[in-house]
Amino acid sequence: MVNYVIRRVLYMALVLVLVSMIAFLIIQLPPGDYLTVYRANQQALGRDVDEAELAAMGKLYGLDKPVYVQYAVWVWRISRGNLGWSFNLKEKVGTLIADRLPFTVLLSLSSLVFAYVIAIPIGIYSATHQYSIADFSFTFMGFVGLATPNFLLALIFMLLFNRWFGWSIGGLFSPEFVDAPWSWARVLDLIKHMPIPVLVIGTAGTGYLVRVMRGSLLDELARQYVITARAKGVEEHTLLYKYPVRLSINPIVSTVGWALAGIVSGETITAIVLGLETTGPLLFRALLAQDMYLAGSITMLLTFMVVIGTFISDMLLVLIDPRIRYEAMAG
Amino acid sequence: MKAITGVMVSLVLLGSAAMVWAGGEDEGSSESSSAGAMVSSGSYNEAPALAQLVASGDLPPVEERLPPEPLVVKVKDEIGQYGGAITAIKHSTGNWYMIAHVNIEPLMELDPEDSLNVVPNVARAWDWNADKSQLTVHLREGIKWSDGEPFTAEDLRFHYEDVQFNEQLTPLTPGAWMSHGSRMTFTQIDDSTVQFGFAGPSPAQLFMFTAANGYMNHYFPAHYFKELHIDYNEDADKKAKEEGLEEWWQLFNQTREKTRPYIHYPGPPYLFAWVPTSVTMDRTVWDRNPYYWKVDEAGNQLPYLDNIYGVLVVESELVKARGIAGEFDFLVEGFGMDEAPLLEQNAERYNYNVIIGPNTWAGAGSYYLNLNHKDPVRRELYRDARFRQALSHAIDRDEINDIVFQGLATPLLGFALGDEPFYDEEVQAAEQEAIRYDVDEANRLLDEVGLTERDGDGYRLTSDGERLTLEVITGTGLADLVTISELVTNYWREVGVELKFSIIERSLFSLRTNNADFDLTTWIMEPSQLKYRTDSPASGWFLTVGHWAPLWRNWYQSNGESGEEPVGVAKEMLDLGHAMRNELDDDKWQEMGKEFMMMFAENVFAIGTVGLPPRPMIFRNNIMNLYDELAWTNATAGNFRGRVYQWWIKE
Repeated sequence: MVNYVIRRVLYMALVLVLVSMIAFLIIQLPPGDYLTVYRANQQALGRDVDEAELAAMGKLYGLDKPVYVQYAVWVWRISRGNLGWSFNLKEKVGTLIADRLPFTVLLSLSSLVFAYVIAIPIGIYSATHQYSIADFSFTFMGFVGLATPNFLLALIFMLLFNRWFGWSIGGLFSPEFVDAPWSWARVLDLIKHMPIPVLVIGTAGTGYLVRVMRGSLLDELARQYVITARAKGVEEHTLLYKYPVRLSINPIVSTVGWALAGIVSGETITAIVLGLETTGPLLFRALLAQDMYLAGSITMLLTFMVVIGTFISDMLLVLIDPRIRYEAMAG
Repeated sequence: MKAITGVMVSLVLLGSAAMVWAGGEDEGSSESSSAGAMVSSGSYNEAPALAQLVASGDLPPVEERLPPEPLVVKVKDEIGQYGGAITAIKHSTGNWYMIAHVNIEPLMELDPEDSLNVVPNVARAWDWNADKSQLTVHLREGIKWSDGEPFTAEDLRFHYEDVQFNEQLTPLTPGAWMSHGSRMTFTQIDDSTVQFGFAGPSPAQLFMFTAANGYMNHYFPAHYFKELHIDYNEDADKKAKEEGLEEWWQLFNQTREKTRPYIHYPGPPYLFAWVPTSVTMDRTVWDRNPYYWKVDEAGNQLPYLDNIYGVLVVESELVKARGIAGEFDFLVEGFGMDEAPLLEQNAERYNYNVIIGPNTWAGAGSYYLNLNHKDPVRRELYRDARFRQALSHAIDRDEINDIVFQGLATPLLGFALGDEPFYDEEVQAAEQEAIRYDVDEANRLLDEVGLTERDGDGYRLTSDGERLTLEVITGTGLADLVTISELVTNYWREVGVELKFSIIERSLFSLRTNNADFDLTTWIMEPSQLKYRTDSPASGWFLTVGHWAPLWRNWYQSNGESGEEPVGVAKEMLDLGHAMRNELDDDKWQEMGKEFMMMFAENVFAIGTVGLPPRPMIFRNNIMNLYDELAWTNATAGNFRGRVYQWWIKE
């Protein structure tokens, strides 16, 4: 068992090293580098950049060196706990990510919880009342939720909330609370701004989860143990929640592990449209600007999340499933 | 011409302003800059919040904070009242200089009402030696940094000698500090006087001190930055290591990057009217600088506004949406004419005024044929001025103006705005001739060039028998170019030239244009800066601003080390631009400028469509002392003339 864990940890480290190389290479793939993008953006504003400015920037950011040297510097700095510097935002990468992470996690978790809280009861209801009017309506709404692009929904909600309640457009706070110290008023303001993103990000997930829940519960309800239990006179409610529902939640629960990376970078487009400063848009813009270290660091963070998530689920499987445990012991 | 009228108005307005802004570029005439002072010294007013701090002993009294002779600002309309705040965009794609409008303090300024007139700012006065190869600048004495430390000539010396001329920190000297092929020299005379020396007559150099953006600063808070400089602090390397870097210059330059107008981090002291006090990921707050060194004519220390809020909005559609909903107190960039009706509809509801003013682009969509084309047949064709003239005659500019800009732009060739001092009737006639819509003439010229053969579809054939197809590329981001190009495609089809339009990603566009790997490009065109006598991009302007001869441009920028040496008229123009820059005789300068303009008009290096495109700007309707739209242009080589420090909010 201990051997198994050690081996897994070593593999994880190897995967991270490989991914760091691939990520760095992919970021380098588009033509040019940060300086090219900077120059192009300045030209779009009608200003030609002085070569001296580019030279100084190139030297400062090490862009005048070959790619493998840049990679080595990056890795060496990471090994010392320094994620580097964002060219575009002129700030430490660590600080930029740390600033955005709490809200990102808060938002993702809220949407996740929202989706589960709505989807599971509806899924159960739909399955137990198959082909009823309510089932059809939920199915219809589920499909609409799945099919509507999130950014469109975001725009519509923003417009309506602004017209009806006069709320500011986008962002997580009203202007007066953006950089106020934490207080009850600020928390309330945050809560006021949460429904739109949570609703928007949540709907697509909800539609999907309703379908999964309904489908797997229908499978379970047709099983013989259900019929047997019913024949033996188990009360319908107890029966439903004690056995088929518990089993049919399984496929949903097993995907929670995958959501780990999604929590960090999920719903990038929605966040951009809503003007939410979460890590998704940060990564998106870093890639556009060829802001190497920032893009690389976020990519590494995501990879880390996936690797950890997989590790956790593997460990859980070892604990739960005797067949895998046996294999692990043997190896 | 609209632009000319604008300048006429400015000149009339200037009549009154000139009483106060008597500073000029002529020798010794600038001492009178503070002559308009109606303030008896020792009786200044300050903002209530600052008065409280003085009362509690946390701040020295206003008389001690202000210089003995503060800069007396003639406000635009009326003396204001203290208080209030405005919200602006701090940074977004395409909006980074919004804050530069608010906070910018170069040595000298351009007059907000006449961009050709240089007026004092941090510098109180200046004088030239006889051949204008030496500029002596007298700094305003007693100015203090926002942390209360005195601002002196040492802050300039440090900036030039230890930063700009330091190879670690500035590996390549910015073109702005180069003159006659060598770097300018800096001498500190005393605490408030410095001298710049140039290798020859350099009247244009004065304008370099009116611009400020990023690396083109004029001074640095020496007492703050010396801490990071190895020459002054042995522990500078250690400091850098603590920040996770390797060497001192990295930390120095990273800190320096943070003082760019659109970043502005709290930490270093500034000379601005407002200093950044808090930065979060969404917003920067600027607080009134208690040591700001300007007063109005009634002796009130400026600025009037308490705070500036800079909001980070990255997505350009969101900028528009929030702008329309009145979430910014002013927004001068970011809207197109498509948004104008929406803005008008919402203006009353959200309390702002919509002002439609011209964007000072000489070309809202200009076409550049690649004179460095790798294919000799194409190169020869593109270098034939008659070919370019023909393509210009084939364009119906009035129709473009009507369809794309609702008739509010101006048909232009794209090199001048019409407000240049040497833009006379003759130049105007030459330009009008070049942009005349005349399909017959276009066809005649194309036949004359030798493009007489046509294929089955009616397109002309080049001398090697290929259909004359021009592939025009543009970078992402400028929506109007698409519509304009659709129209141009039709016009050129009429004369047998096929146009294929494609939009490519911006950095790829930049790479391809730099490598001369294209037929023609379309992009905006900045007007010639010749009128400012600056060299950025000035004499090289006509090469650097467009994409029509990238190899020539590289040659020009690298001082002949790479690229290709320009030939023919282009070379003549380049030499003329250089000579003009250093010409001392005003009449001669005027003549040379005219010659330059004539050459451009006759050779049609850029095929412009329309210029001075309209753009909507919004201002909260209680903001007072607003300068008119011309102050809000970005085309004056990094000069921002909005003077937000004299704005006030009427309750």
